[in-house]
Amino acid sequence: MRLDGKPEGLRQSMSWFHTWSGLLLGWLLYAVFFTGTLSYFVDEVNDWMRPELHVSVPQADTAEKALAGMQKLAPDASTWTISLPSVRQTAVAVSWRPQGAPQGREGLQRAYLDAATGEVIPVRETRGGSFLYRFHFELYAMPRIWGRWIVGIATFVMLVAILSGVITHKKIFTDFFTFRPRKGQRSWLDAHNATAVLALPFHIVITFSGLLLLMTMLMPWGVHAVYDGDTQRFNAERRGVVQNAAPQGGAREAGREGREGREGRAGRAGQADAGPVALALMAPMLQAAQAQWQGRSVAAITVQNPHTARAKVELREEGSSSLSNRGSGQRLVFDGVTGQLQEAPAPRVPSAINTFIGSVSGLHLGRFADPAVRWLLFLSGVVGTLMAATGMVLWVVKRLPERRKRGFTPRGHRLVEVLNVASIAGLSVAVAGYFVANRWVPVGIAERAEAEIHWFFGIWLACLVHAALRPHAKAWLEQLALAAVAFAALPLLNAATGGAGLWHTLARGQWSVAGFDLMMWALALLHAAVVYQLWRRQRAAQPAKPAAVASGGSALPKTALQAPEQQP
Amino acid sequence: MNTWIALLWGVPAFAAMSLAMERHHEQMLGKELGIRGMWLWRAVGTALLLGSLLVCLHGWGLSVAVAAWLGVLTFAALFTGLMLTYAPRRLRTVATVCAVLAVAGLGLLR
Repeated sequence: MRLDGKPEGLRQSMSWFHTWSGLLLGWLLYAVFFTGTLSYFVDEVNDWMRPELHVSVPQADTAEKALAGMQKLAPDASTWTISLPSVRQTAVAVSWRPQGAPQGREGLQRAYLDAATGEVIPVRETRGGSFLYRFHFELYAMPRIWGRWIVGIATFVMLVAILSGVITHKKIFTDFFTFRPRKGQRSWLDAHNATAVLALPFHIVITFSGLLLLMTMLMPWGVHAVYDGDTQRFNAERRGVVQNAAPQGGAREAGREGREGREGRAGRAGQADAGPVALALMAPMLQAAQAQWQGRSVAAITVQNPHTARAKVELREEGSSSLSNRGSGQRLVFDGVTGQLQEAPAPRVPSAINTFIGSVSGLHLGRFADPAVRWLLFLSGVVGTLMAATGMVLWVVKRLPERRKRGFTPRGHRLVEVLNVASIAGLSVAVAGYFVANRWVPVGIAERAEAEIHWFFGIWLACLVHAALRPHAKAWLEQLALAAVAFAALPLLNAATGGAGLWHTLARGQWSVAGFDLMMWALALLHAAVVYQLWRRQRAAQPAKPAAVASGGSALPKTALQAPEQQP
Repeated sequence: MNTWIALLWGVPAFAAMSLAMERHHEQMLGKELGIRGMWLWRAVGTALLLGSLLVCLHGWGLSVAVAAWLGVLTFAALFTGLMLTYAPRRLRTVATVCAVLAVAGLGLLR
């Protein structure tokens, strides 16, 4: 926006918009990106933060053991849901609905079973990785709907910022592979451009799909108009579980139910009302499922009406080879008494719109992904996080020449510096602190899960205060160093406070716990590398220009020696 | 496994793409890039990119394959860019080795 009133080109106005929207929402979006990226490993974090589960090692007969465990735990429940161990989960997570319990989440009871014995493992009270996951789209300490609105609006601006950034970027193809290190502002701009352009498909898809996931909240008018505000019916229809609304889909569903019902009656005519009925053996069903899914194993078992003649066993596939159904896998239904495969539910053919929304939001959620694709998504998230961080640092670095010319640091610049340190380096410290608090806060105290979260926010706030009190360059260095040390110490802390150490988890193939520990070391290395760079530059700059650091000048005093460069 | 093989196709693909650009061509080969060379390297790069897409399509259904491919491209390009910054001449060797391994990797596709 030009103060002198001259007309400005598209690129200039886009540049202006990109700079200011990126800065003002950058702090929030950085936190969303950071916690969202960690959420690709939410299951692993959940396992790590419940060290009691680390004794559970998956066995070949875990499914049988889990069923036996459920028989003891909830013999008269109307449904059992058993989520089997996988590379991402070391224990058996179960839930059941007691007879007569209300529908929905409230009616469910949950527990964890030892994969080797089927016994219940009591766990500490923690929100685990789910806190970070929820935080990334609902924030905290405010009504859920507010958090979603705030993140939704920020996401919307993010999408515009990405597109305006592309327009602002003058030489997107010529500079495709360009990174010019040790050139101050130039280097930051190159790094910002490279992380943005090279992962552009990811950035656009993740932002757009984030909006799609919040779609019905941000833009409810379509549902209001067509469904008279009956969002439940809309959601049911969207998921394809329609009873009576849509004529086509409804008829198909009804037909299937009818067939199943008839077959069931015919098959069990002889043994109706004969008291408790034993469940069929699990192993053949699992084998049949695995054969059907080309080696992909079973992720979850749902048993309806266990111990009755109407028992039905449903197996769900782990992962999926297609994104179109939000990346959720296929299912197989068996007769719970005879173990016979019932007719596989006809695969729903979603509409074009549903396929599109399902694919895009499936990508965002990453539920389908095999480990390789999950890692690609995670690393792309890291690149996106770096893009946000470099952009915010760039705002400061770009204004250093102006600041030098004026001879003092304007308050606004200082505020941005402080917020940058606290939101980037401080968040790393706070997340590491959250994991430490998981072991630090005593087990069994009231509201333990909240206590952990209060530690998270307390540490984050302390980082803000620290950033405000210390010179800018020192604040960066100290907080990042603290984060590096904390991340490096976490795997050791894990072994020392009741969890299984890396040597155990690697030997026993407990990849969820081992993966978390290794990821912490990777994060420690990343932070240590940045700390080393900062430290070297500060030391190099010290004798030549001691004032740069002392005056709270910049994270990279070297940049202060650069001539101001023309920005595109 | 498929991811790694797709990545092995991606690195020489982007190396070829950078050879089609004047600055990087000079960095890597030390000579100027002619107009014919530019189109040649672009063609080679495009072909290799398609190769990595085919590898992904072999391993996954269409939707996941395209997603995985774009992810692979991000990191192949990032790697190529860093090589061009810090060791442009070595990129020739690295890209050639990657290309050989990429073809060999086709035998390991599942």
